[in-house]
Amino acid sequence: MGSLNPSCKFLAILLVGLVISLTYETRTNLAVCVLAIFLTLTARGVDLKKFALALGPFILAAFGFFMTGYFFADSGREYAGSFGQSHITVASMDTAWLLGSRVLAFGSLALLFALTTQPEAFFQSLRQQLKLSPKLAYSLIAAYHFLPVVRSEYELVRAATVIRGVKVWPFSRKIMIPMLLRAFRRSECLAMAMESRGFNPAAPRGQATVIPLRLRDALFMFLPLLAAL
Amino acid sequence: MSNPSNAFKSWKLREVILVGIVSVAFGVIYLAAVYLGIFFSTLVSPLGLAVMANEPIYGIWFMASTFIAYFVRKPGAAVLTEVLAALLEVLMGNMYGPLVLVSGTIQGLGAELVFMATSYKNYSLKVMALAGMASGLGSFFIDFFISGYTKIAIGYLAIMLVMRLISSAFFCGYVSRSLALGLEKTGLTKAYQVRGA
Repeated sequence: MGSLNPSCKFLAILLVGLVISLTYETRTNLAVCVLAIFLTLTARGVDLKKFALALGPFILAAFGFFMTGYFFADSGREYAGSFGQSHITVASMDTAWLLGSRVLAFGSLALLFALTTQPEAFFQSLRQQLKLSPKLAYSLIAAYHFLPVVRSEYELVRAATVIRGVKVWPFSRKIMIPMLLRAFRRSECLAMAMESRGFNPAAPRGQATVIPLRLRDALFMFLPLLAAL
Repeated sequence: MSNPSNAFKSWKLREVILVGIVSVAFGVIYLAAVYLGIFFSTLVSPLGLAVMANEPIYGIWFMASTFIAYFVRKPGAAVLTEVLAALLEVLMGNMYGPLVLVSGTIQGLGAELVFMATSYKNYSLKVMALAGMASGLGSFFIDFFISGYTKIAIGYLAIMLVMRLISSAFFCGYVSRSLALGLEKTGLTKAYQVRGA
């Protein structure tokens, strides 16, 4: 999985997701979920602990959808007259499974992509295969690399308000304004740094790392299409 | 997939980077919101209200796009922000994976249409709240397919829609705008040239 072309993987998973959104089959959802988890676990270099931690909230969300489906299912007006109470129970149980399994399928597909893809390779591949403009691609790469910094910054700003005895909720102005200010200042600096080093989005450019597009990428892309048919 | 590159030729590099960095900053803050949301929805799960529990804070997801649109008053700002944020969120582990690109685009288009109707001139509280509500409407439409709303009772959906619209108007209108005004007051955002705010 890790060696597939990121753009192809992205599109293939997007396609599977769309197919799931437009069909209503619990069995398909569960099959997709099992397959995605299998592919994630067999991929090279996947952090098992990260995987388990990430799956937790998805299972909770799936349970939430399950219960909503159970209690608030659209009881199928076509049959409502001819069947009694029991039919509605069956229908809502089906809906519960359907909605719950759907969330699980999406969640496992999301993890399959997020855990087996190198961010830098993904953006490079978007640029090379899908012709995303270099301006957008390099901005995304730059922004992504600031994720850990922004994360610790958030903790820092929050700690700073807490230590002053100020009660804050996660998106209070007292946290957001300093963080957004830093974001503004940082993008200014970054843009200046990139331009002063000669970054010119219009100039023809070479590639330090070529993200290959191989036969198996094409195969991986068309497999879900075939399965859908 | 369409190629957004051409439409954004007029964008300055620092504006594009700003979109990326602000998306990342909002992404980190969202994450705190998501855990809060999961906590609440798990509490009410046994009552079947979990799907609804996220609605009061739903508007938070569209905040970045109206926030950026306020500073970068150019065609495409709202859509571009949602699309770039979606690409970043996919890697940060959003639950809906690559599908976020689809919902993000539709949400961004909702807000974009509202700003377009004012020819990118009016960024009052009312317009920004409307833009947020348009995003909310777009997200509700796409959720019909993605989250399987077609299978949920109409009454439940109606309450959800009302809550989502109110939350979108509050977060994208009031919160986003007051953050933007607060930032402007510091004077550090002058390079982004907001005219007549």
